[in-house]
Amino acid sequence: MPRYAMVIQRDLCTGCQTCVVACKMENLTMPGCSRTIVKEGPNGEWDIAGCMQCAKPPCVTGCPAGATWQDQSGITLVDEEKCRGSECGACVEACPYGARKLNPKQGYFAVPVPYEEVARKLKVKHKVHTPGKVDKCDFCAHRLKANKLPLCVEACTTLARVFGDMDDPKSDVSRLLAKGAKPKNADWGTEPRVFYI
Amino acid sequence: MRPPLQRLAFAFGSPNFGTESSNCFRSVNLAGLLTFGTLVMGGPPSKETKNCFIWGVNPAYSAPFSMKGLLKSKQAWVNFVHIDPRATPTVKALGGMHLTIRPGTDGALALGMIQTIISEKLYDKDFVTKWVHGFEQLKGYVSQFTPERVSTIAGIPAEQIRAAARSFADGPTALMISSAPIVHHTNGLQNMRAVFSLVALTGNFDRPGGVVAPPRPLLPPDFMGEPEFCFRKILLTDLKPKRADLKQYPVWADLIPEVQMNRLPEYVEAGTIRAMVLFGGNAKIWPQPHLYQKALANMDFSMAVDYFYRPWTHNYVDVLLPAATCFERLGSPACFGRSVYQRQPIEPLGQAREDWQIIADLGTALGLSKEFCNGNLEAFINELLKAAGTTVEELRNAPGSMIAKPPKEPPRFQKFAEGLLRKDGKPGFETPTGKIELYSPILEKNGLDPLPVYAEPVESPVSKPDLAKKYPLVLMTGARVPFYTHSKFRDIPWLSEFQPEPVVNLNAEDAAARGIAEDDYVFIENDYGRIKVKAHVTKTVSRSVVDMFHGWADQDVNALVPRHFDPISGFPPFKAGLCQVRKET
Repeated sequence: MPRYAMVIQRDLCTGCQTCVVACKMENLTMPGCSRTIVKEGPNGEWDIAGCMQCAKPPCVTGCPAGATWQDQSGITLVDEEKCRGSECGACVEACPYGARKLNPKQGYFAVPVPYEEVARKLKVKHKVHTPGKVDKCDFCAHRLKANKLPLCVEACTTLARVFGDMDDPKSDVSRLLAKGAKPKNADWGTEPRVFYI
Repeated sequence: MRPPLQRLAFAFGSPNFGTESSNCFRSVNLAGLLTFGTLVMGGPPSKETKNCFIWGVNPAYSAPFSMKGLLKSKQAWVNFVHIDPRATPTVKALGGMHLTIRPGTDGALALGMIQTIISEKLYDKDFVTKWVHGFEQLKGYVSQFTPERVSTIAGIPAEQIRAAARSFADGPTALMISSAPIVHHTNGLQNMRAVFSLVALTGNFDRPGGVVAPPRPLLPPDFMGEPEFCFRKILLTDLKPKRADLKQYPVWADLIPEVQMNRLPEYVEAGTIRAMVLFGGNAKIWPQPHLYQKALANMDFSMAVDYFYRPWTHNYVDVLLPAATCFERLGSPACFGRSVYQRQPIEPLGQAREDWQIIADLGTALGLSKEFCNGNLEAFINELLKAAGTTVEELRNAPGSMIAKPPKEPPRFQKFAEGLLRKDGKPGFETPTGKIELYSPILEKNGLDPLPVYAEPVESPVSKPDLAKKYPLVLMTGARVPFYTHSKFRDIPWLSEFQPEPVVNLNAEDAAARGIAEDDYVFIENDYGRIKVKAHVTKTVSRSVVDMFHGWADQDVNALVPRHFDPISGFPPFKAGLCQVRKET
């Protein structure tokens, strides 16, 4: 089983927001629930936020319903059926990276639009979201199963996002880790699998 | 739908077909025609390129798909030189020299670089002797533009100007420009010509790795304005004397097949234009939009066709028709390279009708049933498709039909030497002297300065020091953001999450001096108006420059843009006005 990781090369990011839109297209997340956020700082530097896919995820230990769990490749996932959502919100509090959001009551439009209806009708799980439940990045687990990259990685206009198996010494992520890619706030001790260089 | 609308205007007897291009890219077009006799838009570096000048463009936002290629060029050791008042993401990603120019002084910088290139004898003597007209005159003129003097004009250190000049001459040098940054100024056309003169003097025109001329003969068909279908001939002959822009912008009227729309209020005031049909028109694209709204209202008759009801335009017209969207219409073939598509996924919904149909019916109602195929949509579209040697029926059966491909051949350079840039097939350029015209006989004949002279923006801290005491900041508008295209897509809620309200980018020191912090509401104001927007405090914008994105209907920065127009192109200074910014109290 691979151990998935992502490395973001900060110097290459131009803040074009393609990854944010690509994620939205792929996962049809609800308003205010972008799974990756790219924000400009005062010096023109880009801060790329989102789920860090921690090896020691406080959201898993913090979930009282057993709804948040980690698969064998290290991706943290949410079982919507078990999730108590806005009645609970413990995982949102537990995540030090602020990467979890509660789905709002209403979607982008007052009535479902055709692409939402189609997703619902065809039961495309990753595109259907329940109001009130928690939402987070899953490295596009459905795409990984089909041997595809997470869409934010595939869509990146400057190849700033790199994805792969950190157990494979030949992978691009391993190469960048050897070059010194570091997680954000390593001192928090959650062992993120998203690194920056 | 530009071709059928031109056909309608010209067949009806009006030469006054205009588009937003007359305050977008057409001035670059005009500068290219005056200097090289052909359209020159620059382009990205190729494998032969040594230096690439990115002049006022931020492809990371305006063409993000090109960034992978540019980053590859960086890896291949292309040396980038950026000329931009902002440290854009492109500057950051590609690195290289960055000249933080004061907006509107591009011409002075180019002339300073030319002065260096000539005084250090770095120009391409053979090329200049053979292909360039006006070298001696330009040499005389630029002697006053020493890097030291240009430094005081453009706000760039003299040594950096010299270094940039030496890089430009050490070719092959590619030049990336765009529609707006150099020409959206009161001296924009000549500034553009000064930059083009650099290309000519260094022999970088149409050489591998340099500034490549468009292929000729131009790839047929031109679906934007196929001359035969558009009845261009009538415009150029019978209708020419009736052009609304003829007196004020004679050079434009000679070379550009569409009327200069920026002076619409004046045309209406003078009674030259009394009625108007707008397809997707927007009164807010012009400086001081209220005057254009008034012009629409004051006409005898005006009609608009649009997808949306936009009160700032449509409250001023007599009739508004709902337009069919791209999913509901047959008209306007889609061209991808040489593949042509023509399809109509669904019938128009509600009362919507497609542009081509509306035009065909208007033409027929005007008694021009032959020219407009008696309102028969398919027959009307077939008239245009003739140029591609196909028909709607054929494309229906074979979507993506290819226009006949010319035999494959390697890209050609120095096409001017082979006579490929002139209609008569002789070597040289399609200009009066047959050479690249640094000194333009066309401008001279029209009483305009034949050399690419520099003039300060009409309103700048240098030209209007008193005004600048009140409004010390330079107002630069129109720089792109990645998620909106002009005023488009504001109705897509996914996208408006990025920037739900208008934001101004302020230099950190300018903000601090005014007690402005991140996300504060501020007023941007000058004698023309005032808007209230949110502040983004950043070090990426040069000191004294204010960078405001356009297209916000309620807080419209175009209301603050002066109506001083470039005397040759008629373009307004979208990129260099004066303003003050203060915190909302």
